Amino acid sequence: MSKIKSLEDLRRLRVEQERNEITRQNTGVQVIVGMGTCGIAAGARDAMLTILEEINKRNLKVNITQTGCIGMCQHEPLIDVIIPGEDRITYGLVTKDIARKIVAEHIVNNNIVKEAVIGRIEKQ
Amino acid sequence: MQDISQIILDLVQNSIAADSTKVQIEIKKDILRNLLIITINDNGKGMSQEITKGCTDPFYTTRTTRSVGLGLAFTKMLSEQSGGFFNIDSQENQGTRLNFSFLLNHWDRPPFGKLEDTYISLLILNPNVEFNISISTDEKSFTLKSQDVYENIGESHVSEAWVIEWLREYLRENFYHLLKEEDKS
Repeated sequence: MSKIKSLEDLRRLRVEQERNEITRQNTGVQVIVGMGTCGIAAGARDAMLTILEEINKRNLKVNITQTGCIGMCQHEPLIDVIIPGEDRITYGLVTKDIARKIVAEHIVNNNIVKEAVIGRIEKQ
Repeated sequence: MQDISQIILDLVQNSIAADSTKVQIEIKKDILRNLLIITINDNGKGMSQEITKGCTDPFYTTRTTRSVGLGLAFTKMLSEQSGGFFNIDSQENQGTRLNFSFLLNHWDRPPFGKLEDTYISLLILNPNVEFNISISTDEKSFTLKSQDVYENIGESHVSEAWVIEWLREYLRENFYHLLKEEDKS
């Protein structure tokens, strides 16, 4: 068994982190994850953590929030991406692969991942 | 629901929907009594007696838009199917306490799953809610308060890579050290 870390390690890490402070690019993007019973059962947690991982890899600042069941349980996990000034896109059946694609294609390059789109709300 | 970590995530979502600011999750592995006992305590708005009685019926819901609401009914079914019990206690404006169990060695007991991912998801999605988790066996226990995490990382930053990586490692080692199970994935 490897040694168990402690909370002090976390503080040490923070000091280290502050030393090589990286400024994050603020993109103003919002990602909304459906976290109802249906979403969780379909794997919303993994989709959410995958997106977060990809965002962190690229040092982006994205706001991740949650919502409940919106009544499209058969399409869960559902993820909405809102980029300021663009249409709001709802993705359905988001697997880990699609989650990675959403970050790389949609959030970074602004190309919508067409095969996974199930809804689109026109920008106001 | 495939595993206990997802069941907990689902039930804590109820607490969040009930405006809780503090949620306490306890997992107790009672080897002597062959039980796995899970308690979820919140300080949300609670439910009236009538709702408390009805809420584990799969056809009951407080929602007005659609008539579904399966989380509690599902958990009750699973725990009773696995030789355990299911209790729900609620006081209006005080909070709700869920207490359910599984027989440890029962065929139908779900595996633990990724408890660390459940905790991390809760922290990231609900920065204003305090989540305390504790896991105990007959001899040892482990507790983590979200307050302690915040104090050590300074302001916000929970969703940053170094925090998540550390948390995952920290929780995984402590959880599985106590729960010791085949599903270490």
